Amino acid sequence: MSVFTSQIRHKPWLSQITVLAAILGALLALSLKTQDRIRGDQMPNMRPNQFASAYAQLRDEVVDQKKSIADLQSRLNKYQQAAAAESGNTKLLSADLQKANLLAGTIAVTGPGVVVTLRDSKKAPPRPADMAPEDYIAMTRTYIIHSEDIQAVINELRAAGAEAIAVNDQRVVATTAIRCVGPVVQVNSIPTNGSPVRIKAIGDPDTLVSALTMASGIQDQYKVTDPSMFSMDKVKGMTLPAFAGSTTVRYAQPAADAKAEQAQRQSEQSATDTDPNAAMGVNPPVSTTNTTH
Amino acid sequence: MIRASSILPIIGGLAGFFAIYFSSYTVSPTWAPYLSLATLAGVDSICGGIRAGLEGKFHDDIFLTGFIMNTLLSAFLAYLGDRIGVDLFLAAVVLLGGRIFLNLSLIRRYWLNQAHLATQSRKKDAAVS
Repeated sequence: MSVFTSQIRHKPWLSQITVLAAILGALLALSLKTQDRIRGDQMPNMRPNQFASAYAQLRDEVVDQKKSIADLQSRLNKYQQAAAAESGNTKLLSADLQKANLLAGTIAVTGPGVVVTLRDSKKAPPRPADMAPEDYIAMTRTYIIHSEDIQAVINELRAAGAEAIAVNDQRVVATTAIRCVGPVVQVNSIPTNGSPVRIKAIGDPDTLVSALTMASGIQDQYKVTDPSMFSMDKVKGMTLPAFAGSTTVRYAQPAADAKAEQAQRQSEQSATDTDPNAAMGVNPPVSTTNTTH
Repeated sequence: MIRASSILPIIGGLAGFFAIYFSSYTVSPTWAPYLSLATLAGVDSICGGIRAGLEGKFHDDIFLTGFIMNTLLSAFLAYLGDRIGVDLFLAAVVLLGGRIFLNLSLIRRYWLNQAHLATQSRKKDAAVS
């Protein structure tokens, strides 16, 4: 130790340097740990070339997981069927379960229906030389298919009694979101072609077709810009795939009886509140028995 | 004997390093780039301080304020660059890295010079006696 203390006496800067070197060592350790944690937990910070490999890895994992989900789902189905064959009770339960699965979209379904094809129009006018690109995009908005167009078609099909719908071979279920991300349409968070978009719906083909060809309906809207953007075909039988995504429920829980009754009462009340007189602006008669103080 | 004076800061540095590395202190990843830059500035200040000390020109107020100011300034520069969209941290990285190289080479030359002088004086003593 004396060799150090004698040095410090001769060179006063040594003690300061040592203290600050300790601080520096602490800073180094802190940055090292933080960088390790970043690389461990999330995407690497400021290393663009590592993004690509991490993304490819994640994407492959997702594909594998989706395959295993579909696999497990079909095995589950088979077991349910097998269990149903054993007794009358389980047969009834299994039939209920099959129907629930069908409506929920977790099993593949076949049936007659329609296929609606939406595609971008090729008849958009070319960009005038003096127009800014953003203005041109805004001007030609109606010549391109957007997620709202797909959703409008789905809405119409549902109103006409469609029992199962798939967009670009992605089954539409209760948690499906359809979003436009650039030239790509994301259905169930899976990117698909933006044009053409094939919407398949199983239901009564004639009802579905007449719903879409109503006056001022979906088909008529496209007649204004370009009728070739919308086309549909009646189909005698087609198969829609099962929903291949995650069915984990994190927030919703089946309601206990008291809460279920309350929800039921609320929905009945809102149904009767649609008084046609109120809708037309006529004041309902004021009740004279309620003036209590 | 020269080595002893240089080992003490290293020991201090290692002590500080292991104390924090094996503890549970962490910094949120948002501050990570600024922390790295501050560390670089600290390394530069330390190297500059060691060099100044070996040349006999060490002033503790200059060193202390330099350490603190450079650390904070580099972090601030990186933050400002993030906000205005220019990679200002590159300026800090290039200059600090350059200075670290410069100071380390000067320290190396000073050590070699000292070693040279020591062997020379030993030869002279041997020649005289």
